[in-house]
Amino acid sequence: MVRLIKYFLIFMGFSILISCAEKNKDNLLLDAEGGNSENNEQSAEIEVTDNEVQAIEMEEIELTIEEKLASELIDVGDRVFFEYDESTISAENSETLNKQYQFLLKNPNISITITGHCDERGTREYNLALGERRASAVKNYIVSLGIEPSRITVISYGKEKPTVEGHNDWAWAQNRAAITYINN
Amino acid sequence: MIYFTRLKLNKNTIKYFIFNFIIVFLFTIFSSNYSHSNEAPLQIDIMGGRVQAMPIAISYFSIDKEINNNSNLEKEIPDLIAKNLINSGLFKLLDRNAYMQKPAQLINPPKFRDWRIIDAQILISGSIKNEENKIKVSVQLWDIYGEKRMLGISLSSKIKSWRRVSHIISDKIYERLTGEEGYFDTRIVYVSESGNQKNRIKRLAIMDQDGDNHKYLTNGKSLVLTPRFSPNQQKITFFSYNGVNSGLKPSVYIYDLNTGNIEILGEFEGMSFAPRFSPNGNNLIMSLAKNGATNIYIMNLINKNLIQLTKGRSIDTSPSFSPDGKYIVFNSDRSGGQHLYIMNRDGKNVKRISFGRGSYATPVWSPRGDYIAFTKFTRGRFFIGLMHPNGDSERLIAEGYLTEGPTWAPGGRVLSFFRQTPLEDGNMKTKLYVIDITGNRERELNTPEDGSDPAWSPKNIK
Repeated sequence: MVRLIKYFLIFMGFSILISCAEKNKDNLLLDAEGGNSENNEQSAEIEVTDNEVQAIEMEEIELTIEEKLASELIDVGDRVFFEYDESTISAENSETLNKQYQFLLKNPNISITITGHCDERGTREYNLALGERRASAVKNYIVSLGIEPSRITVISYGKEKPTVEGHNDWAWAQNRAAITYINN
Repeated sequence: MIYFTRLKLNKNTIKYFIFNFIIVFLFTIFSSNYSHSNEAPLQIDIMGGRVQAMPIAISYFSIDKEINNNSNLEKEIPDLIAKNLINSGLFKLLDRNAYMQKPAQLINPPKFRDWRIIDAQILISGSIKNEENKIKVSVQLWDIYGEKRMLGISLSSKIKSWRRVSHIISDKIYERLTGEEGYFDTRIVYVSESGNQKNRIKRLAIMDQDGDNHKYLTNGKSLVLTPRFSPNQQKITFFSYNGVNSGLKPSVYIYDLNTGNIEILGEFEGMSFAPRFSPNGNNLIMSLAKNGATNIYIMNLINKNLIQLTKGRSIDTSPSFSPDGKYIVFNSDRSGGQHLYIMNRDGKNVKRISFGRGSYATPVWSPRGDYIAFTKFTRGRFFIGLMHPNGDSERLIAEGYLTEGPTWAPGGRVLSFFRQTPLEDGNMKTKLYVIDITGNRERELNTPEDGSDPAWSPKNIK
């Protein structure tokens, strides 16, 4: 919900900026409720600038600690991808996982779950095993850097929870993943 | 010469069958006097591949007037027998408008000539008699050209059990005509699927093999997969994500159809999945995945003793017992690709049996022991295939964008599997199918929603 509000505010911010541009940089007036008040001369006038939009956003969003961490994890990179029927940690993967390690180091009180996923081109049972292998490969990598194994849980979803729909190379590549979540 | 066989169901067998009705059967079969004849008995060879469907006449039955008969049993029972036989693909029903004899006239042996005129090779006639609170259904199977009775069956049951009576009669007729075990008095448990691919709702459902008596066993809150019957079909083992949000690992569960209880098999180090019962029902084989390796284990269900059968870093999964319980077939990627292997039930003497191109998975040993059905993935397509347990005579009997999960009907001549077919709108259609081992006579099973992971029950009567 908070994320929705955030997106909405960012969208509003952009809309306002676009309107500004359209009005040849005329100042846009907001009334106390934040509505467009060009026709309402009585209301308190606030000059909206780039900084002001920024300020509104900062003011309105109150992320919980969990949400801050989750969004931080997404910035760090919450998932790594694999080749077909593979569980090798590529150079690109290790870059992401090194950052996840730093993140775990910085937040010693959190524990994580790594979910393993496969594309649809395999049987259910084999893919459950392959998803486990992928998630375990990620766990083992992070543990090898020095994180306590007890902080990491592994769950395989095989091909049962694809992150994207679709039946093509792009979708399959997206779905061959191990995704890191922070435990509540 | 008439042979009488009297079978009586034991109490347990009855208790678990279909939740809402209890049946008491008096089950009498008379076998006919065909055996003294020198003629070859009339029989269909289901192994003949594209055999022509045998023209068969199934008359409506005669019925006692005293029977309180809202459901037109004299038509419903022969219609259900006809539906079963025709679904097998081996028979075609001759139009009843062409029959020259009325049901009431068929209390006596038929006028064979009248049935030859319409090209019937087989006639099925029957009667329904009132017996206190029960009905007694008697059915005769006539060889029109041989001019003799091939089979007579009488069954007593409560009126509401007429469907099951019809399935049992269908089995006896099928067995008499094909020499193969019937599979109509059976059920199918499967995963009913709905919703989009990302948030698919998957719940266990069970139905008669003809789609009737459909009911859901789980509510869909937890993802469930791969249900399989116990040999006495009182229990179903399956895999579920039940409780993963509260710290449980995805695990093997056992559903008791008598009580409705669901129990976790055990809390193991690692994920337990791919469960199947042993042929005597006392053991369960499955995979445990931990730390990137998946191995096969056997658990004694009585003392809960767990024994590891395969070792190593590879993925060993989808184990299935041979019907004699001596061997286990499974799939493994130990050689690099996914292939099928057989081992003794103690894990010794592992032998690879698949050597073709592509990936082999989900091997399932036929109840007759002569074939192993499997899923194969090659050149971007999925197939259902068969091979003998020594790996010989591999052939593919069904294919699709994704076909998977073969399961055998009793008798080992008919299978079910599921297939995902891409639709034009980008969605997938996922349905259950039935096919016989010749690869012919494929048909879709009717389910309320999408369906996957079918498991065919053993026969209700042993």
